[in-house]
Amino acid sequence: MLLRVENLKVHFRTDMGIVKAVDGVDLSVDTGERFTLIGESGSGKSVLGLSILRLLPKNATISGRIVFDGKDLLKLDEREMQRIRGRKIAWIPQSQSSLNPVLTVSFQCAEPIIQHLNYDKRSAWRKVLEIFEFLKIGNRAREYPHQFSGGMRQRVLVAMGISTDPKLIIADEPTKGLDASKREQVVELFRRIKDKTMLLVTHDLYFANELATKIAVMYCGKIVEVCNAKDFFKEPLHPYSRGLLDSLPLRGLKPIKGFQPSMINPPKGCRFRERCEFASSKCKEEPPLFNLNGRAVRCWLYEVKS
Amino acid sequence: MIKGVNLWKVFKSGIIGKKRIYALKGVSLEIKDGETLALVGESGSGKSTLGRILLMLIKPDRGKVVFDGVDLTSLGNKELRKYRLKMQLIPQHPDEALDPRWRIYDSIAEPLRIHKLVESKEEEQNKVFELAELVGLKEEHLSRYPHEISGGELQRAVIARALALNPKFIVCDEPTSMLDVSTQASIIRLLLDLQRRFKMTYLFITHNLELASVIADRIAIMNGGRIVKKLKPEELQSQLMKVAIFRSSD
Repeated sequence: MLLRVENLKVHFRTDMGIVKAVDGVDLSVDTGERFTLIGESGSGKSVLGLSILRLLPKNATISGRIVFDGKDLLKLDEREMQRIRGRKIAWIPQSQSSLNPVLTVSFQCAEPIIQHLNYDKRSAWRKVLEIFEFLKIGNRAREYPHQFSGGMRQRVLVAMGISTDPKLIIADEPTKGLDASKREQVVELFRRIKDKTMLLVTHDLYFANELATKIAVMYCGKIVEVCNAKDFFKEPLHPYSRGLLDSLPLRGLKPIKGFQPSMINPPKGCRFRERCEFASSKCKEEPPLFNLNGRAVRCWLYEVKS
Repeated sequence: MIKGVNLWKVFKSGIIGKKRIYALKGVSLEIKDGETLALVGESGSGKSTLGRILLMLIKPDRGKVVFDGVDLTSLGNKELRKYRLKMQLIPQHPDEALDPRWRIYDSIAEPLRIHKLVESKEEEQNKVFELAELVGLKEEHLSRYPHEISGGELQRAVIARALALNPKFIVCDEPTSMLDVSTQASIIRLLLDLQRRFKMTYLFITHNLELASVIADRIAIMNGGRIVKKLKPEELQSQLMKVAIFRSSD
């Protein structure tokens, strides 16, 4: 087991009250998996990714355990954390503005290699060229980010991510706002690095279907379903997961009724209750994650069967 | 209903217009009354430019736009205003479409004020409430500012504003590309429902093939400033069904 998150809570203090962005999440990622967190905007999935790297803003309080490679990341001090960020765990941000505009792409890509792996400049340069070759960035190492298209910039970000050969890669919404053919290129890009262990955060079901080995569905700060990607797309169990898939145009274009509840005062009991067509009085109690032939579902519908 | 004939558009940039981008290279198309034409293509293929030209928001360099038998390209700005009433745009980024310093109520009421369609405050209020109800917004949303409501609600407000003038023709420019799938489903359902009720004609611009194949009567594919292919939604659907995720489980 490479990464284990236990009862993680991330709360933000705001003027409106405390936003419970992540509210008691457990998950584990094994080496070699492409663990994919899906959910709609505001479900807390990006915050979960950021909290693993401890890159949260100051108004956040975080509790629980994040065990990576045998160490609890929440107990490390900032110095030790710096040795993990970019070295053991890499973060691939959403494309566009994440590169420094005044440095060449190769310099930015070489930086983590020199910092973390103690390479000298020359061998770092060679390594960068090797990675650029592998990701088909071509002979453009001396260019600046503005000379690159959005898709090429994303390749550079991926190159930076894999440059130190990290044990885990976290990618945040790699396909957000892209058209169909660009999205295909991103899928292709991630396929090239598929021997890596990844935590993918996305709301793009198509992207998840192409790359995930495991799927976890997040709703309102909680994980409501975890299972193998294949089973998930064949037969989602949780009513929210079904709702998500049924709202795809060719699967019925059926919206989920109602709106996402507030994360300041989430509903008591099952958080999906008010929008769920199967809701009963039982749902006023918080359902645990039921285990069903290796799949985990947070819904009372599956109580009897487990 | 609306027709574009041999439309050309070149964007010039640089100091003396040295850099030229050919956005449209002789596009002709016709959209019939009450029909939805989906315009599909990659970003940069000229879809949005075509939509904006059909609305006469930008002028074509060459070619004609004919609306209900009238050549709009030959009209002056004042005469055009009569036709602007009948044609509306639903833009891609609802968060940038509304004035951030105005309440939602005022943004919906603005077209009514500009075109002097209401005589009193009361009439205006009734009309705005009616529009809000039509798109599923609650009264409490109307007194808020754009940053205080969600993306889906914002898009509903933008749709209400577009409907305020009882348009006949609406260009929907990627209205759901920034929204989640379940929000997308509800906005699309709303648009289709409104189309049936008010017998409107849609030009639906999208890069989502799946969506186009479900909602359109006809599909035109654009690439490099030209329409390269026209096809029926069924043909596209049968292609897409080969991808497992799009098939429903039952």
